[in-house]
Amino acid sequence: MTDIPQVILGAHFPGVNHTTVWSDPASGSHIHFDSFARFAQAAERGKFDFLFLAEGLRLREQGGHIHDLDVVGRPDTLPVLAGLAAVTQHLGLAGTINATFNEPTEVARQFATLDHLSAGRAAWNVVTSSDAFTGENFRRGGYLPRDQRYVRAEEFLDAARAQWDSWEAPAGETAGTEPAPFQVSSTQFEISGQVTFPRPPQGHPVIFQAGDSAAGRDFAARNADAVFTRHGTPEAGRAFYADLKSRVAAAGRTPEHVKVLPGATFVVADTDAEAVELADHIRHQQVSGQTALRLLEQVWNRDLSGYDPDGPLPEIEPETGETTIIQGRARHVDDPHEAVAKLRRLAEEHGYSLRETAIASQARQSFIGSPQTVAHQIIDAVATGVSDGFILVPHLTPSGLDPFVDRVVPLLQERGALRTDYPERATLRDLLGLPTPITLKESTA
Amino acid sequence: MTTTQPSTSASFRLGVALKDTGWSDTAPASTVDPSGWLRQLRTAEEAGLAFATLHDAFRFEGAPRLDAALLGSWLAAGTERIGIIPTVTTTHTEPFHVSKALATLDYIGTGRAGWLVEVSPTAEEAQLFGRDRTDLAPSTLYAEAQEAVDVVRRLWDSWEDDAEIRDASTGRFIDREKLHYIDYESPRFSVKGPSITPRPPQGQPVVAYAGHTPEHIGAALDGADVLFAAPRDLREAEAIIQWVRRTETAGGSPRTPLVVYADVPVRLGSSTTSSTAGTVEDWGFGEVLTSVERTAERLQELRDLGFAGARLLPAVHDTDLAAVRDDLVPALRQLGLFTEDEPATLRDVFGLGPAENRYAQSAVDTASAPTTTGVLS
Ligand SMILES: Cc1cc2nc3c(=O)[nH]c(=O)nc-3n(C[C@H](O)[C@H](O)[C@H](O)COP(=O)(O)O)c2cc1C
Repeated sequence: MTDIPQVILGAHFPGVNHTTVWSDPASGSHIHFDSFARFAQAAERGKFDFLFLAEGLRLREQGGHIHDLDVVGRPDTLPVLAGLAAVTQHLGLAGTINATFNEPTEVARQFATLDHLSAGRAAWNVVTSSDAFTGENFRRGGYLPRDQRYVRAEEFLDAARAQWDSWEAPAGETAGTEPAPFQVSSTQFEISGQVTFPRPPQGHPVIFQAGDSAAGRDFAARNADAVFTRHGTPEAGRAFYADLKSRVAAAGRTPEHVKVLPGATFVVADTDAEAVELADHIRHQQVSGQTALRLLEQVWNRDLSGYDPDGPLPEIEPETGETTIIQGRARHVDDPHEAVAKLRRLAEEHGYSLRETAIASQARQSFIGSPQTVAHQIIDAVATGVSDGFILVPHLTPSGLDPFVDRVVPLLQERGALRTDYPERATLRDLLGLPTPITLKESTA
Repeated sequence: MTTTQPSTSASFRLGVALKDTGWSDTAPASTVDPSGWLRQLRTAEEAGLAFATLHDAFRFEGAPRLDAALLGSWLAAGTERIGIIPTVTTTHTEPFHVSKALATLDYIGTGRAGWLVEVSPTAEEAQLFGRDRTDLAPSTLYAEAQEAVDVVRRLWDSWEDDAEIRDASTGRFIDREKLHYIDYESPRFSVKGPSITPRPPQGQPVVAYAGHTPEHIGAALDGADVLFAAPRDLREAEAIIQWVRRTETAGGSPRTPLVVYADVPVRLGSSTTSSTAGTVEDWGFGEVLTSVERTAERLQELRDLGFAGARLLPAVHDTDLAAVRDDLVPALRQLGLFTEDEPATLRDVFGLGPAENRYAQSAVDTASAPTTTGVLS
């Protein structure tokens, strides 16, 4: 038996996405704090490393209308995490905050506050998604050309680091000391002054990154402690893992110090066969006839509302022009003609309706099976270089994590892949096995 | 105009202004230790205080300080009844972010959120944001604050309360007809909306200003619910109330009258009741009340002048809040000076009634009628 690796586990609060099922009777509020508290407490019961919140700063639109088929709306990331700090004790609290539509002085202070409130459990997922559509909600934001987003993100992070590092009081004893003045001068920022907060307990919050472009990966290699990625299947996962870790080494950092964490979904049942059946049922819940039309509109890039979800695929060709029918989220279709041809082959082969084709075209859940099967698959993935762990995205709020916590976690613990209890007074950096944060002094030395 | 008189309601409520560990704390406990804050809020809650305001500013003012909106969110999750009113500034912040942060505080506290609106008047703060901002005149900053309040309020209303429908038959999670673009455009702000956060439990969390300069009073009358005035003596207290009511009448606005509270500095804690001579002028507060009897007397006088309540300014949070709970409140109860009911929301604390949604169809219908007296004009 080879060494059992430690599996890092994150719990993604189910959100604004068609994978979140709201029509199930067990689906609760996606807004009320009780849902978040209950979800976080389940993750803590399962000895997870952290809870994760996504963010989007403009409601999604499709065809010029606010998209109404998925969960819509969410509370503000950082206040929710601050509230959760009061009702949990060990769980890391990771929040997605945009570097384009915020200012470093405010964000550095907010994450320092969260880190103090949670005794060292804060993490920041630095995202750069930026378009004119989202910029319409901000007076000063505007938006940035693609090639400048990561320039700003990196300068933003440096500006935050300068602030986190500026008041290092021994053992939290601030009496008689003062924050040292800081100054930041870069292409995006010309700021100076004194912070109001002593250095956060972790030094810096744990830094996550979630962009997939080469610029995004290099940004992560230089700056991040962890990467949230879409590449969780064995092949794609290994390729991403190898690529990212080599970029980390090229950036002069230790590859083990940047954790690769794909998002992953799961379906657990008594037997593998039952899990497969349940997974199919959930996929039907996730993709109603209306949702199927919306998903295919993203491929065809045109209005398909006149089509019958139970009828055949549209015979018209996709629109390939620049105009994109969806706004407020990324579009992942490279070659629409090829994508449509693929869907047609799929429908023909199985005799699928439009809706069935849409369902079949969606990625299957990452882990499907009995508790033993799922535990084995996860350990195997981490042991074979797919990832350092997973950020699990349940399909139900707030109870979606429970089957995993109650049935898979004990098996992971039994096999030594997951802690059976939290260490005393551990910060999130401690839980993840991360070194002390990158300080500017070091990085400019 | 029928509403120039102060509220005739008999209620008179007490809240507390928390700033670091107290305005004259000589042995400050850590202001970044969350457990200290929770202890204070729980003491205030046990005392039956209706709310706590949390001071904040971006500049370093001598004591370590955390972000008040996040501290408030943390405290809301650890308390049950007390209203939580963080200071959130408007000069360098985005109304879109402010709106969802306070809406979320209202969700965490299930209807207990308020907003103490402040500006950032110093060049030091402008430097922290790197803006070549030279116009820091109070008139400019408060005009901007008024606009920020307006934008935030519109965003709070940008979802109707019943927008989430979860209609399985049509597959729709929301009724998008009940979400509204706010399309706010001015030289200062342009905000499209709707908010990403649904309308908070109170609809409109309570909005307050602290101060009684013409800029404060003007801004408060324009868009706030509550004014915390800081009179140095009774004559000034009377003058402030009259000024507010006169300005209200002159403005002829159809809003409900501003709820005016008086700030009352206290030093009641047993370990600090020693000499207060000399501190009075230093702090610019007017009289600091150091006995339960004098405090009760002052509160009675303020109530008779038409103040809706008082915001206590404790010299030392820990000891003074304990004294408020153990000595002051029991004495006020005996005197019938302490309102005992349990308001369900912070709006109820201030007697504001339910907040109409400006975008809801029923509100639009009545708003076009000339006789409306809605809170949100
Ligand atoms: C797994 C994953 C999750 C993401 N989550 C968010 C999110 O919650 N909010 C957001 O604004 N952007 C999110 N993004 C977008 C990225 O952070 C990034 O800004 C975007 O992908 C563009 O960067 P890129 O060109 O490097 O991919 C996510 C991306 C990935 C891959």
